[in-house]
Amino acid sequence: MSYRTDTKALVLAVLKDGPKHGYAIGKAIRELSQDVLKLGEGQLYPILHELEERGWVEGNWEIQDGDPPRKVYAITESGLTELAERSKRWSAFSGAVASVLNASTLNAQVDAV
Amino acid sequence: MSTPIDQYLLAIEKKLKQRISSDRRTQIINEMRAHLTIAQKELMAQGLAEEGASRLAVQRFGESEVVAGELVRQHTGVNTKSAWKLVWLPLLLLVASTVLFVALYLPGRHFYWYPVSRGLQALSLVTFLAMVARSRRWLLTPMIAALLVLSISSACLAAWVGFGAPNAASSKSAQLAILDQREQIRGELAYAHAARMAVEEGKPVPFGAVYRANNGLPESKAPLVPVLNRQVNAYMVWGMPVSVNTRDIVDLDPAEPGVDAVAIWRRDGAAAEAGLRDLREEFDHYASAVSSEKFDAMFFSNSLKRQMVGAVRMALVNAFVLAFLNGLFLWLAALSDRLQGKRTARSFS
Repeated sequence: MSYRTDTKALVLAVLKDGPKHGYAIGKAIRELSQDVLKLGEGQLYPILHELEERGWVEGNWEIQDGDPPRKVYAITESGLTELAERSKRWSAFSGAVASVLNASTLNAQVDAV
Repeated sequence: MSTPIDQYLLAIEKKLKQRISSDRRTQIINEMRAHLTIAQKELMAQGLAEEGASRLAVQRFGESEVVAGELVRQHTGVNTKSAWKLVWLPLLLLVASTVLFVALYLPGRHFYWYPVSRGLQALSLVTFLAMVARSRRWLLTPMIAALLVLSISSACLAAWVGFGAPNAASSKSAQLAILDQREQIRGELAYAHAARMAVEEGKPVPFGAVYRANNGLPESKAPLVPVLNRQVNAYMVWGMPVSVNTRDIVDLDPAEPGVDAVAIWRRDGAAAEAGLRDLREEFDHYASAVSSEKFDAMFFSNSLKRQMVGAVRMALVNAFVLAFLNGLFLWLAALSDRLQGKRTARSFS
């Protein structure tokens, strides 16, 4: 599992809290990850379009006074299911990595003693 | 006056043109415009001037080429990777194969390069097809079209040649050629046997009467000696070797002055006679087919088969060339786009 593959999960996770437009999604990911995950803003749209095509998110245009219309995305039922599945896979993956890292750290400590 | 955001969106729209429908393209551009406008406003709220905020918003959004490429890939499944990247490896293999093929004509008879040259051609074609299929580019369409068109047109030609007057003439001519060839081989075999026996009995090698009679040559005092010749049939399209068939043929040629004909017959005589005997058997078989009433039908069937195999082969190669040219065209178009993009980028600063 790579970070790139999981970008979809990040977008779905951010949308779980409520509908957002593209800019807000990118900003939320950046803020929630405390600036660790900085998604290229332009890369977000192909991902959003793919999620929309798969039916995991739904986009609706909002007309604004004085500003250009913007598209707001909301997560769908199937999107929530997909998010749950991806979160499960990610937890298993990160748990496995953590186990290996912790074990090697422990071994190093034992060796030092 | 257009802002950096306008220029950036225009550059993206140009790259999406002819790949994504007009309606979809408008939606994408509007969505990006909304994003860039919000980003610009936030940056201005942080104290940046309008122009600087606009430029920074564009910069953060990413390179237009990358963003447009990702969008095209997402919406059409087409990889916008440079066409050059698709063709460099097959082209290199093809060039290597052609160089080897050309080298075959250099002094030294490098016959062992034939299979290498052929292998490289096949590898080149397979690599190209694999790369095209993997990239999901539209290059496959002209390849399939060329294959169909050439196969159908060649089949029509083969049918015309087979059923029409050319077939009757070719059939008769083939009959005569086969019978004539059989007579020549029989004569050469008789000569080879006589020459070998003469050498074994310590007598001089006889003169090449058979050769002179068969080839309508004037009287010569030179005896004939066996020469192993490699017959090469190369099938070429647009100067590219496609298929090379080689076959060892025993010929009896007049000995060059100063050549020790006895030594040659002692060394190669048995092999030459055996080779000629095999050839005679082969031509006896052809000759019996020639005398058969079914010869015309057989001739037509073989001619059609040969035409069809040639047609498919030719179609494949032509399709390959066509697809390659298309790739080259796409690459040139991409290059022109890139140059135009650089001009746009210069106008930003």
